[in-house]
Amino acid sequence: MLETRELTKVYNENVLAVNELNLKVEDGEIYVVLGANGAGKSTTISMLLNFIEPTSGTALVGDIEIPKFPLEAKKHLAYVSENVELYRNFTARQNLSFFAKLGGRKKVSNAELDETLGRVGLAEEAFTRRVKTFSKGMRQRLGIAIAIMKDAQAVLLDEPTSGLDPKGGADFLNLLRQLKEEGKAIFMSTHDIFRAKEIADRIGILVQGNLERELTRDEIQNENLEELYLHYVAGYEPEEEASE
Amino acid sequence: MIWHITKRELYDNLNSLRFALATVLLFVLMLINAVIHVQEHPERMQKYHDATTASVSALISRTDLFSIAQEGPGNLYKKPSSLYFCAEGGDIFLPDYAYGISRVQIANNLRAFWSLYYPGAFPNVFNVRPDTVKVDWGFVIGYVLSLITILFTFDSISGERERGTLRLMLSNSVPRHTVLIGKFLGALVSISVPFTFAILMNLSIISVSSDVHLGADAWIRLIIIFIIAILYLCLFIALGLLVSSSVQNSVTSLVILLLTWCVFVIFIPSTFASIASGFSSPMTYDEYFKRRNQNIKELKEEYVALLQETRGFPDKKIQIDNEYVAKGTEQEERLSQEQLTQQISQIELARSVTRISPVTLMQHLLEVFVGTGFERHQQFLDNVQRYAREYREFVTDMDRADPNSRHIIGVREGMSQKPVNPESIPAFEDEISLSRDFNAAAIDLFLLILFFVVLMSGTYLRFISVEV
Amino acid sequence: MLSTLIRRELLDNLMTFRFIATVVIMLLLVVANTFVLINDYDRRLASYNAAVNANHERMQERTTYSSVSISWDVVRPPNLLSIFNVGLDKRLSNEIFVFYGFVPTLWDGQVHGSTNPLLNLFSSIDIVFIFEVVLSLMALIFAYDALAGERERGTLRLVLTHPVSRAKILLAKYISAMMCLLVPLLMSFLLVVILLTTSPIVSLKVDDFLRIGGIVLSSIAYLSIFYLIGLLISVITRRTSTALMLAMFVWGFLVLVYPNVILVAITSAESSQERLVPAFNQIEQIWEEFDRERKDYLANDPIPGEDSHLGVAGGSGFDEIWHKAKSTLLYTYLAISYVNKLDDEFEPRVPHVQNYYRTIVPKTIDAAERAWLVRKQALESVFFRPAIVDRIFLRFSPVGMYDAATQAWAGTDLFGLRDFYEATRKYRRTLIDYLYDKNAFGDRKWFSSDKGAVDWDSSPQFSFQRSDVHVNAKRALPDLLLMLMMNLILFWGIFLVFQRSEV
Repeated sequence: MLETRELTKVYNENVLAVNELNLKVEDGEIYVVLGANGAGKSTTISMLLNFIEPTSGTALVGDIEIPKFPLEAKKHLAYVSENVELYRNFTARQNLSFFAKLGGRKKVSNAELDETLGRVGLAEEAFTRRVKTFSKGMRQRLGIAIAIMKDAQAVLLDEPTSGLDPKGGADFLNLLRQLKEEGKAIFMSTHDIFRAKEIADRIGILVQGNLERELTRDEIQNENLEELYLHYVAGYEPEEEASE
Repeated sequence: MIWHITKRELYDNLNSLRFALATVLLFVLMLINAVIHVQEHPERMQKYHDATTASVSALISRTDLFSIAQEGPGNLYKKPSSLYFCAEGGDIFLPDYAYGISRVQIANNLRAFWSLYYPGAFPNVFNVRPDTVKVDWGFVIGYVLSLITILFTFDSISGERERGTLRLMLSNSVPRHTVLIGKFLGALVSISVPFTFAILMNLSIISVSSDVHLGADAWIRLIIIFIIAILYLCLFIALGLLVSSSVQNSVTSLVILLLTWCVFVIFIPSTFASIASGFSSPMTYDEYFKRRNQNIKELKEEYVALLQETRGFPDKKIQIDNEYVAKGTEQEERLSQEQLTQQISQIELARSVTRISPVTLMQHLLEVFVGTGFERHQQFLDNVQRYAREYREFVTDMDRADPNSRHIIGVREGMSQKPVNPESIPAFEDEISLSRDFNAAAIDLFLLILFFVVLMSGTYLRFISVEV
Repeated sequence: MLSTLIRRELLDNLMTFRFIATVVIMLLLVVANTFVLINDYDRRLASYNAAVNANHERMQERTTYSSVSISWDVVRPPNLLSIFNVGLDKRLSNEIFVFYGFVPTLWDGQVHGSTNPLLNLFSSIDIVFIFEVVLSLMALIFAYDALAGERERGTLRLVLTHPVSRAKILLAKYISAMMCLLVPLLMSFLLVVILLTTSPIVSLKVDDFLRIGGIVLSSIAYLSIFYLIGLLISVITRRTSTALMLAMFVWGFLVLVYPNVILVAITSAESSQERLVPAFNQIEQIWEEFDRERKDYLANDPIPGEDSHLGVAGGSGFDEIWHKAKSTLLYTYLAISYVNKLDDEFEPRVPHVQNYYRTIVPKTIDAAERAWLVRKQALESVFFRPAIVDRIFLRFSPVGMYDAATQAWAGTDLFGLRDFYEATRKYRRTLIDYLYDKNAFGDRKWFSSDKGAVDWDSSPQFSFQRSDVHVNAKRALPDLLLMLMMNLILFWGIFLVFQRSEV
């Protein structure tokens, strides 16, 4: 379970990036947050990972407060970022193994690594290839593999589908579904409405740091999401690339 | 956990182009260094040996106390270090001897006793070959290794940030300081491995060669030198990590690091030394000779004037002769001592100013433990001065031991006429001691560690608050 | 078309951090060091003047012709342009004693005592050294991603979709980068020149400006070489990070390692002293022959004995020295006489003494000239030629060419300094002619001042005129051409690789 309570981030005293965000992702649920560039999606994820300190409010994973016990909390969080290059001189297996150990695993067998890599759909010949030869889709799969390997309670995904081809995107959503089956709380940020619609259990629309609207599964099916999204984003004017 | 990060860093580095290039570079330099040392060292030792033998044989050829007391010990040579290949320390610009001879003629048949003189070294006056820096360990460590370190660390944090792996890494429950230490150790190990092997190769060539003998003391010193090199390496790793974590992009990081390196390693040592040496102007040789001639002239005139009064009183003449020999000796020694002190204090000021550069600190430390350079030269001068006292005491003691002597040192008739056993004349021993070297190294060592601690804590503070 | 490309490149380069940072650091270094160097020059000039005055004073004290041979010292003035490249200016001897009995060479000088010799412990830097290090680094940092970076970002493809030839792209990159790099270079030179002209102790002549111009020219060629090396690396590597590493190691090798390592690596273990032995024996023979003739003369003289001074002064006021130094092949005979008062009993001998000197001094000069022929050749082959070979090896790095060219312009190179020793030799000839003119050898004043001292006011004065600019230019030309050639070869190579490379 992932939860934010009045989570707020103000940059440089006056730039409001995230404003009193309250949301809750249950185990086995996929929560998608939609928003334009600069809406506060990345800032939220950064706060969930304690990369930045919230100005006020808090966030929890399970019942651990993230800002207070970041290291403990991170044991229960896995992260997939938008565009990770990974270690170019390492093979897929070496990358996975390194991050698995970093995630607290003592010993990782090759079989287990291969199984995870196979699960995310990497071809066997790619396991021992250096990552610098990988395409973007392959790297993203490896990113997911790293998250799966960590076997964390909550998974945070920051624009994971950007730049993926249709097949890659579809495979990716399948992987997410599998994770959901396993009972993970999945929090994903994106501006890809169609994929959001396809997979989300709930959708939050973030506009200038405010959670403007939250839609349930039923509402997602019934409402015209595109229109809704454009409606909320239409008045938006880019202020500043606040996060990242 | 640290070990995982270190291991990854290591693996990454071992596969890189820079590692290969750095290894080749270090090995080639260390090989050249060893070969040259094996060629040159026996020559140097032979020269020292011949010179000391000559001056000792001149010394023991004298048998009467008066000529021993008057002529003095002759040339006193500085013992070359067997670790010369580690740090040459500008030794060619330092005189490798001092001499104690009798030079001042007071009157036709009266000469002052010997006093110490400190020659200057002008090794390049006839040398038309181009200037070069000696390829010793000091050069390899100070310049090449520090540059390599910068090239290894400039992207170690900024690069990970650019690739996004830093975020991924920190999304795990790894404390930041662990990441930092892991990275630090990774860089340290991956640079010190080729460096250590290059050094081992260098030492094995040198120790296998039959012409060079390294004793136990030398090996202890080598270990200390190695530790200093590693400390210096750590300093640059800390600098690299600091800059790398402070800036957004790797190229900026490299530019800052290279400029810092240029300024601190190449320019500050010479520019600051030039500025600092301008603050004092020690007695020039022209001045020295002018004053010396003036002194001697006055002495002669005084003596001649007094001599008129002693006509017919041989005892009184002996007293006056004695007095003027002592006076002449004393003023001669005082003058050359004064010039030396002024020269040395000018250099010391310049040296302390350049301590702001880590490469100078490291080179000072190396020189101290190798037994070359300025610090060593001062130790040699101390030894010379101590020996001069010993030598003079020997003369007084010998004279005192003879009941037939009139104990008027300075004139032949006033001194013991007993033949002196040449073996009993004290011989000059240019000793070096590790404990003294530690004392001499204390400031530099402290500063080097201080620099490292400051940089490392700066890096730590920067890295724990860095935005990923 | 070309101008569009250049404008974009310029904007791209000028606004970068690396550009501003290097410019600032470079200017700081140049200004700080110019102050230091001007001060240093001032000190050297003062010491030169002191030495000249001291020599002049000593000269006035000499009362006989023969005694002047121990004090006819000439002093080498410091070279103002050593501020740019010190070369050998500070290192070699700056005082030399000119005497009819031997032909002075570079190896006979000494250092007039004015500085602390221990100061040599600190390496000295000059303006060219700063450029050598910083400019080359800067050029590489500018160049390493010029092509690799564009390829990585895909902008190269984009540019090539337009009707632009690859040669034009290359040219645009080169021209714009050079324009950028020239900014700090020219600013530095401007600052140095301003500091020099405003300094009260320095006066620059037109020739000096031309020489500085030559140094600027060489600096541009040097800069361009390093930029092209960077560009070559950039075009042959696929990734910027590889290009960067390669560029940095190339820099470290060419600037830091090679110039220092190559000389120790090529130095032969053969002792130069041994090679001087045959020449020394020859010279010894010449002088021994001279001595035999001298002794023959004395033996046949009506005054018995072999006393070189024929007993005139009873030994006081007379010095006779055989001066020998095997390591520099120095061998000469000095006979100095400075009798103040001649007793009447010696008066009959005076004509004999005059005859003796009238015969012997020209023989000394003759022996010296003959010895010089042997000596010149031996010293050149043992000391001079290896130094030339060293410099040839150094030229395999652009640093060596640049150093040699700027030294030649500044006149602090080996040949520039040799001019001084050449001038001292000429001065010696003038002095000898002067002595012949005055019929000095057979003069009573040669050995005795009892009938009046020698008046030195009419004696020729030494003055050292540095070589003309065109001589400097001629000496710098080979290195300049070499640099130019290297530029062309590099550019051609880059062009060939770039033409064929995938984008």
